[in-house]
Amino acid sequence: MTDMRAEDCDFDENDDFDQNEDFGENRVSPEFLKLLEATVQSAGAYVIPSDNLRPHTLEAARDYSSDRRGTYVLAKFALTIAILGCVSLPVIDRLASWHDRVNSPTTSQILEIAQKKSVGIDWGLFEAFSELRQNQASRFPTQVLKRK
Amino acid sequence: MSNPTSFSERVRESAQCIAESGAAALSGLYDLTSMRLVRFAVTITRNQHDAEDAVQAALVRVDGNAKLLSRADSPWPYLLQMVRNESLLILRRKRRVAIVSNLTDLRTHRSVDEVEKEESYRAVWMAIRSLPVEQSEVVVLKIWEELTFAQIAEVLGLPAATAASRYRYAMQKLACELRSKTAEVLL
Repeated sequence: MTDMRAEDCDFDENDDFDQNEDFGENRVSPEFLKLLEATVQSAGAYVIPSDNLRPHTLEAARDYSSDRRGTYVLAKFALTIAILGCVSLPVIDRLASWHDRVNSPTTSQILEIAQKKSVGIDWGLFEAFSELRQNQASRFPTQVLKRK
Repeated sequence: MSNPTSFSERVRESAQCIAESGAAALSGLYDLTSMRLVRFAVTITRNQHDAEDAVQAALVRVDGNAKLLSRADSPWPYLLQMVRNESLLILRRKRRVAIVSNLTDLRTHRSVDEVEKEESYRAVWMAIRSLPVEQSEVVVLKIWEELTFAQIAEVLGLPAATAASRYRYAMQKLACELRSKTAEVLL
């Protein structure tokens, strides 16, 4: 301890010094430095974690991991729905166009035709049915059949 | 104290176990590192409760992505860096100026044959607490974690020469502090 030259601690604490810089009057001898390091080293195990830190940490990790898993499942579900939506929209459009072609006339359409042609409801049904068959026949590829 | 390289490898093995088995394997890493991490975090936060929060947050992060730790070049300095970042986050969030004049927040341990040394331990911890954080963390990493200045520089994100000079200043200050308290501390 008598080797120590640091009589007071008023040295500049500026950080950016060269490693080999001379610390002048504040220099500590190597022997004293070793003793000091050993003293500090011995106090290393004096502070320990609280008893409840272990269960708290493990519980927090479990919660975090289950939250992450839940978020992952939710994200996967949302992605699947989005992909399904993207794929099914064109299919639904296509099906809707086919639906118009094969759909039979509704009662209101029959009534409308009957009123338009000034006939009764039974005759209106016949007219509507004829119109439907004509529409279907016009869409059917008849030219191929005619050639045959 | 174990060799830092072999300790780093043990940390890597624990991280690999977590990556393979999930949260259940975290207890292994906790048992291996918690004491060291808490004492390092305490030097930054100046409060054991905050230090434990930082350690907990860091370990939960490790559990979330253990591969990051197991693939690191030096897992132990990497984990220390994680704890340091968490500690600084907590400090920033609390905006508390650390003025600590006692050790009442610390949970301490001493065996029966070390009762007479307790005074010395307390003096050392008080002296470390009296240092600026920039210096005390270098002391902890150098003496308790036995890291090289290059590794310390990696953990703290500064040049090795700066870490070395901070260490020198810290040791000079510790010498002053401990000498002024009692000569017995250093014997």
